[in-house]
Amino acid sequence: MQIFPRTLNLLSLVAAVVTTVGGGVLTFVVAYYFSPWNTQVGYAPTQPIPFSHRLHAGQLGLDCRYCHANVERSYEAMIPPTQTCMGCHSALHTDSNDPNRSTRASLQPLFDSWAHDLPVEWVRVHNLPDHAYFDHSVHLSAGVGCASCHGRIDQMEVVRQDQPLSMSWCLDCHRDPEPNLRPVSEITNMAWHRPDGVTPAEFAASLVEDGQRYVTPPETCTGCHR
Amino acid sequence: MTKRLPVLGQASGAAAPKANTPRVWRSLEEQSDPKRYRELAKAGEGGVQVDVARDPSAGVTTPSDTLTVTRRSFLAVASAATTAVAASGCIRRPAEQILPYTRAPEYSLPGIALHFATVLAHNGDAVGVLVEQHEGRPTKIEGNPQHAASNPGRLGEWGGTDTPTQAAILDLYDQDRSGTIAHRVDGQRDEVSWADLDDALATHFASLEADGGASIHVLHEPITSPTLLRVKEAFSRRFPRASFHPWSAVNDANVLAGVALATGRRARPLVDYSAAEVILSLDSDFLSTEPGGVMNARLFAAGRRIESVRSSMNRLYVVESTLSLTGSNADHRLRLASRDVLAYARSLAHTLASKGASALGAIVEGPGDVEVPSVWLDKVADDLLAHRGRVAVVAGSRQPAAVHALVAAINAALGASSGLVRYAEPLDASDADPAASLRAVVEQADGSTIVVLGGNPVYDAPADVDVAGALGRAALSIHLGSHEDETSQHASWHIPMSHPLESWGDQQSLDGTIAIQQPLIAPLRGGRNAIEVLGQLAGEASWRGYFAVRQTLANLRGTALGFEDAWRDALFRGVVTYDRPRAPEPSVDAAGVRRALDDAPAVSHEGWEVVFAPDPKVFDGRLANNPWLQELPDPITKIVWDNAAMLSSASASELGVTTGKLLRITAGERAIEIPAVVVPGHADRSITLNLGWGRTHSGQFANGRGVNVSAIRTSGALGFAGGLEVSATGGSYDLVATQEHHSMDVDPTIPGVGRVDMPERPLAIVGTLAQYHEQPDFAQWREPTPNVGPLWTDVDYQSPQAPAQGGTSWSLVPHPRPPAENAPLRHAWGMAIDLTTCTGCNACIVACNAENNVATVGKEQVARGREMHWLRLDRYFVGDDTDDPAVAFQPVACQHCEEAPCENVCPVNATAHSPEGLNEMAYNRCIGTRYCANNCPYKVRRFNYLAYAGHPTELQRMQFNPNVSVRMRGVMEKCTYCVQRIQAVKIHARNEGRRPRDGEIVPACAQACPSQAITFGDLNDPESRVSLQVRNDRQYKLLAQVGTKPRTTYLARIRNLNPEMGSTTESA
Repeated sequence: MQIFPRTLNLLSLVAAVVTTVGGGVLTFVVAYYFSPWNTQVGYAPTQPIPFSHRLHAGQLGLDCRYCHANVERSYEAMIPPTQTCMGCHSALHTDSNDPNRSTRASLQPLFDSWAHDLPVEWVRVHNLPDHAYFDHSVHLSAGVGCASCHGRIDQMEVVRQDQPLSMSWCLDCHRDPEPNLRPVSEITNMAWHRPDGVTPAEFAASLVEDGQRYVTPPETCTGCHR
Repeated sequence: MTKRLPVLGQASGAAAPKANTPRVWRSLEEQSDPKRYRELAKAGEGGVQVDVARDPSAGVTTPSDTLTVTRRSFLAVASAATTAVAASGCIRRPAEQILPYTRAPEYSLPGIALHFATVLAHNGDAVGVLVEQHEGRPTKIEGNPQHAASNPGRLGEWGGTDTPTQAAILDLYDQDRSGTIAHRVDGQRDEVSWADLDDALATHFASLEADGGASIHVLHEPITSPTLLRVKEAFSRRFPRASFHPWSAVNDANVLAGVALATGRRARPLVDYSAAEVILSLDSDFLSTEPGGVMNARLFAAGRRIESVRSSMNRLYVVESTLSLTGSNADHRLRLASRDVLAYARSLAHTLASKGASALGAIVEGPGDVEVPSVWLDKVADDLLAHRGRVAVVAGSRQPAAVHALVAAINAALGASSGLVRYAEPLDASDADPAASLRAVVEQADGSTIVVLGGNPVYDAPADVDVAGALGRAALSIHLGSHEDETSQHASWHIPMSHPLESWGDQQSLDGTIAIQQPLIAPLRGGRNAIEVLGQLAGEASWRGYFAVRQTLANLRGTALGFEDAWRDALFRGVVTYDRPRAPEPSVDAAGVRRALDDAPAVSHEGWEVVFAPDPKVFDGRLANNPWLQELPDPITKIVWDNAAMLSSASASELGVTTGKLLRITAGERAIEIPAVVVPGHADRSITLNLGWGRTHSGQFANGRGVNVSAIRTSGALGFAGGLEVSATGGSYDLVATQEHHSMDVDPTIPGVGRVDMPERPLAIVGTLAQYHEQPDFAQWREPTPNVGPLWTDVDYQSPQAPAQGGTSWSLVPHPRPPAENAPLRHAWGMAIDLTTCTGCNACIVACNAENNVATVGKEQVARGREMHWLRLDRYFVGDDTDDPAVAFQPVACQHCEEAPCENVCPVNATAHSPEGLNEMAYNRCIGTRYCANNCPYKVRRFNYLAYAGHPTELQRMQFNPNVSVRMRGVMEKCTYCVQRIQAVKIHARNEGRRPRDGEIVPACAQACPSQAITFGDLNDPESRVSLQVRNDRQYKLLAQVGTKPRTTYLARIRNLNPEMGSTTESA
């Protein structure tokens, strides 16, 4: 006895197609949401001055804190005032007949800023949502190095976002900080890595023995949201 | 064994007290209309709709109220938003820019707040403050612990403040402040530039030099600035015949005149309330609206704080007409019309004389003409005499000079002047009477030049003085004011006045402390202050505030430091070190006091008495355009956004009115109509009217709110007047009060768990000192142990800080690890609130508004129970006598329960518990079900029904605390224990490799509290101040019977009754 009409045979085909295509779309949407395209890993906007961290922090070896001077005291790492740049550049590439023409031209916004007392309009690369209250200083005193979140800045010609900076990414470290801990003396050392053959737990324990503070990162809402 | 209630469980600990417990109640409506009361009490909860009258006067107040959304507009916006969201999915967040400084200012650390010491003048006094500044924006005002008006005797680790001081920060960002110079000629208003103004004034004043400026009248507020006084002298040198007239609608001219009559010196009594054992206040609201409120409250609380049964405690008698904040804190209170206070003082002096204070015998021969209960003469006199040398009598500045003269004599006779009552001379020695000054200006106005330096005389002058007409008759009139207000409308020139946080100046406090007022920001809307305007008119070369103030300090020199060091020291500490002249100990001249009593003006005892009181919120109207203050519930009546005529229930029945009915008050040919509010404890046949309302040219928040009572105030009776006619008009008005909102003790019909009716154990526990001595733990009486088990696993807060749980955010199962041996002990934050020292002044609420970006919602929304205050101050009446109850105040904010009922009903885990015991709220998770608010027994959660923050302007945004999220519509919020301050201190301490110190973390409410009633700290530290408070025998938990285990502890309110008084208030 035939209960279902024959035309219904088409249903299984339609169902299979819809499931495949729909599932594929759903997978894509979810995967995209968590992917670097959405979290903007690799975002590297063009800055008003093509400042090269590779040159300054890498080749010249300036310490991060020479410019980002507040990073150990404030929640903001602080983009340096024009004054800081002018500490060196009042003597470097100032001459309008400077032989290195392209460098001289690219520095023009800096000299304009200094001359007219107007800020250099840098574009924000690492942009956390406004309801997340991130504090640089406490991460540094815990022994989390710059490179852990910002990547090898000393090798970047143009600064780009290296990590997703998503909430789950934050929580991964807050739940298990040990792989990212280092001696506080090494926080700005971009090339530092844990000694070979030592587990993160052992190394973290040795840091506490050496007088570094025991790290208890908050995993609770108000740790970051107020 | 009687039937046990399901939740209450068995009584634990302390046995039932022997004395009868007093009845504690919130309002008269609670008895007269319980159904409506319960309805109001549930206002603001989910699904409960409260009927709100559609009276236009109850109408729109904040921009958010004007958001009327129709179905059509909603659909339009929703579809547009959907499209926008869909489109934006493919686009990166908009690029943001970072604009660093070009030249970094000294000391500035972007992200770290700076604090500057300055001073804010108010009511003839000046409170030293520390102002928090974020990248150049002042955002919060705190008391300066080094300044005597904020922290007298260094009693506290931080300074106290009051509501005007806390609210001053919002005035700085007031959109309605004037920013342009207005020149009015024949009603034609022109805007001119500063240069034009300077030219015009220079020409005009040069022409007045010829006759010594005889036609110049300078109307100024009482001078508390040494620099302004110096500039005034400079002005007098240029114009020797110019006259100066002090005027302020609220002033203490009577005090100065009375003390002058008694001692020959114009001075104010300064009372060390911390040393007084017995205090008698005659119509003086010294804790709030009298000058020196912060200082007085801190000293009074110091004399009242009891740590244990061994502590002593002062006793406060109050004789007054209005139930004031001071009266609410009285141990014994006599309600007596203000016009009878002089007679009472006379009777008391007579009784004292007959009982041994012989010095008074030469002053008063017989008792005054007033009927008071005999104990109020005999027993009060006995108590005063028994504590000779340790008593203080104070009188309110609305009382006539004779009362102040007599009070000075009583204090001298009781030996109180031995350091306990000192006399401080005001900065400005001029003995001009304010009302007479104002009249003089009006009389001589024709063709004169009138300079109004601050103040708003057209609005607040008594009705019989036509200041507006005088300004019109003047050849030229200048008004310096923060707003283009009522006075500006009649002056030929309006000059915008800069805010004290924008300009240089200095202020002397009541006790002689001088502080420099340093600007935190360049004037947002331009403007100059009184020093600059007068200095310029005086022809000073360096009239700019900065140079003028430095010159004053140079003249003051009293330190070994060089000038630059002294200047920096004064700026850094907020207090100037200088050689203070020692005032001679005054001696009371009996004949002078007698003369004062003989000459005391008679006040009509016929008809009704009307008392003109400064408003506890908007004062004399100068603070009216401040929405924080407008929405602040009145400490007693709990009315918001309005003023009302306060009267007793007997008076109300005589007039046939109830709360909300309109009264017509007639004085001669002048009359006002104002809604009545029945206040338990008000004197009969007396009506209190608060000044400062009914502004017409102030700004969007003040205009048209309330009734201007100056219309029936006369220059002969600024404080109170008798012989007025009062009648009911038959009309009514919608007053909105938060009195019944968020009541915790409602609906005894709900069965089972959650039943919180417990008539024997009130929410605010009040006891007497005798009761406390007999049974120190009386507050824990019937502390119920709930027989419901905990819903959550008990957290061991004594354990070390939990280590990171391990795993990643992807792992479904946490990987718990044991804490390391060297892990530090965790914190357990807790708060203790001492109801004995809480004076109910509301400073904590405004401080919370400022710190936590709490929105104001407007009158209509408050009527619906949607006020957003995280902290509310419940005011309870205690005792069976509805005409003369005692009062208890109870600040209630989130109790941070261990077993928080809000947490387990949240479907999205937006409110959760922190390992340190905080009940925390993640706004971005909240989807607005409001289940938590419904389930909160303390009614402390607030829901953003509308976008109350709205779209703030650039100016308004500057006030926001950058460390607290501004909440959006549809989100629940509540007290966080100022978690941003906790985190900031913890981070600071961690960076320094130490633990937070006790007292380092101060929530905004605790920091503002002038009486230091709030303590916060770590309960895991057994020696912390909060731990000591929590172990105090007076401690109890609010609604302990529901088993929420709150983190906030209350300490019972103790009243120090005189057993011999035997008054009705003794039911407590």
